[in-house]
Amino acid sequence: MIRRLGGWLLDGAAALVLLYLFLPIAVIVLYSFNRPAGRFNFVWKAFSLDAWRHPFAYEALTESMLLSLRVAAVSTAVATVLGTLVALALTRYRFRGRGAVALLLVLPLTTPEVVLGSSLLSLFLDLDAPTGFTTIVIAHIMFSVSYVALTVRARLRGFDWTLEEAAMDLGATPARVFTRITLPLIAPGIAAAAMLAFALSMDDFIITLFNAGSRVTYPLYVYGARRAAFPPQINVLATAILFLSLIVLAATVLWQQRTLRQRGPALGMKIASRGRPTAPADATQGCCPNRWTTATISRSALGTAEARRLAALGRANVAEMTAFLRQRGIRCDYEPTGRLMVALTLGQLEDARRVPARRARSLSLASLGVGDEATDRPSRAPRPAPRARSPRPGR
Amino acid sequence: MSRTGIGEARRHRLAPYLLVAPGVVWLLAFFVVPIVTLAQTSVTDTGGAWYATYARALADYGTHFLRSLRYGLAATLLALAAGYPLAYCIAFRAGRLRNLLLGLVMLPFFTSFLVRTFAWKTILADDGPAVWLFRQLHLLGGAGRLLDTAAAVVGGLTYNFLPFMILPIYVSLEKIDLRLVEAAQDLYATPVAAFRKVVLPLSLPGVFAGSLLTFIPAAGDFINAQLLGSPNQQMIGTVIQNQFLEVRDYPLAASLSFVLMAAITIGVTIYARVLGTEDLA
Repeated sequence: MIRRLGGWLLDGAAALVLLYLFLPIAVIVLYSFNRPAGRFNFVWKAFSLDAWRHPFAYEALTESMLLSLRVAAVSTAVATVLGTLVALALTRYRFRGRGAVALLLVLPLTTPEVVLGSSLLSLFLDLDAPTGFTTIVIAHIMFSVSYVALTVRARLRGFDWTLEEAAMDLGATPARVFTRITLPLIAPGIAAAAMLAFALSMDDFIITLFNAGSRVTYPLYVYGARRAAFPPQINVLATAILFLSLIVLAATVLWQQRTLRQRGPALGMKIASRGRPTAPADATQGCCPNRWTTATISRSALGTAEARRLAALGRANVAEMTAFLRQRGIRCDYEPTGRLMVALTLGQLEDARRVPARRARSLSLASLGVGDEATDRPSRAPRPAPRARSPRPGR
Repeated sequence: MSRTGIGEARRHRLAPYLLVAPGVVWLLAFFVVPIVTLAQTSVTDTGGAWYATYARALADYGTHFLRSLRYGLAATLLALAAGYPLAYCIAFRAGRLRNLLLGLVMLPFFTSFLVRTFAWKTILADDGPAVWLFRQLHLLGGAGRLLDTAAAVVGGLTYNFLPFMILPIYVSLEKIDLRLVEAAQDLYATPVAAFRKVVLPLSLPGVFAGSLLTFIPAAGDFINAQLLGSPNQQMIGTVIQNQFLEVRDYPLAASLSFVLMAAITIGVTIYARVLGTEDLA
């Protein structure tokens, strides 16, 4: 009884906090339908659709919004590229100075915005550089790079780099590996980071105030509006942005879920390349039919118990399994250790990304075998040369 | 990881530096160099010892500093008190509603920070709903106000940075292996003891990150003080902004900025030592 009461209290407290978070947003939306008595839309007077009918009635307000959109577009584009490159370097390489770079990324986040803004202004004053569009963009890129790099880095942890390696061993050029394998896999993370950078740039007030010169962004306009006039159009634009971002967010989430489902094998299956050197002629075609790639089910993705079960299943079903794969044009060989060797062409490897995870999993349950030693790490033990043309017959 | 073959290692020795170079150069040029410039500005034209401007800054605006730190601290504690239960509910009690609730917590990010603070001005206005409610509850006298009080400023700060408290705590709670809690219960821990001995310690990294992400911007903020407070609630950010953009006493403004940064860095370091968490990222 007491436990139940505590739970209710907890839920009640959480609901109150959510209410606290929403209250101002509700007021913003509500007051976009207000017909204020004077120039300031702070007191409720009467319901009206006027502001929604003429959202761009205030030219200065519209211009400030356009300026904010321009600043956000430019700074997001630059910061996303710079930040993603840093994140890639930090996750993929160990290099001297790695810790210093990571620290440099965090520092702007632990520095108050007033300090960031005022220090940049003192630099521009020192250089006699006039403040305006360029300085706003410079400032926004500066604080966005950190957010982008940290967001992308968080998404890259747990990324399966062996897929990239396999493609490289199958003769793909670095450029092709990047555009066909790496980029599609990390794209959702980059998109999330870019959206964050865009939102931060649109909303930044303090740093912009110091470096804007005579330019007026949307937040600066709102700030100035407290003196001259605060029209309901401000609320209309804020509400419109809210709903637009919700739509974009929903679309991105759906897209990410789709890609997550698509990149099933990359998550559930480790594809480690092995095999013999290829003829140069094959390599130039970007496809080496004689190369072998082992696919093992990662224990971390399935859990040890299920990996064991799969191993048993696999041993019992070698014939079925090899037939299944050969039907699909994939040559394979089953080793008694429980490791399934699969010959994949580069095209098939790239396609592996597109197999839905659900199907990949059911495929693995029904027909792929996994040894007890199937782990994240492909074993380094020497292995008999794979027989490309004559798969081992089923037992 | 099997990815560093010998040939590959040679090929990639320069690669990481090429990748980080643009971003690092940008941060050096527009974050590190400006801080150095700021330090230089703060010690020029002092008309005396190099620290003369600092002495003036502390003498004239010491109260603003203390007030900023006090308000920042109060907002952080309130955000922790409000944010932890919500993060806990989302992580452990929300079930299928979890992602929806997380989205709702992030909703404020999609409306302008300034417009939201103006909305608080409407809510807290003298003839607004909050004052009416508080008077009905006899929490506020007939002439009592909410706007232009310290409570309004701290409330606004808490509101603005609450999501930054909730999200890191949620992330650390979500990572907790629930079997640990079950184990504690199997060993006859009461729910309260299980929380205190298992869940709370494991969520401390989130509390740490959340407090920093709340305290640092809250102590440096001046919008809430300006819109929801009176001149008696002005924070150090207002002074810095005013000195830089209106009075144009650059050395004084620079030294104020520097003291704020130093105060926060010292505070954060002590906090990190106390909580025993060294890495911020």
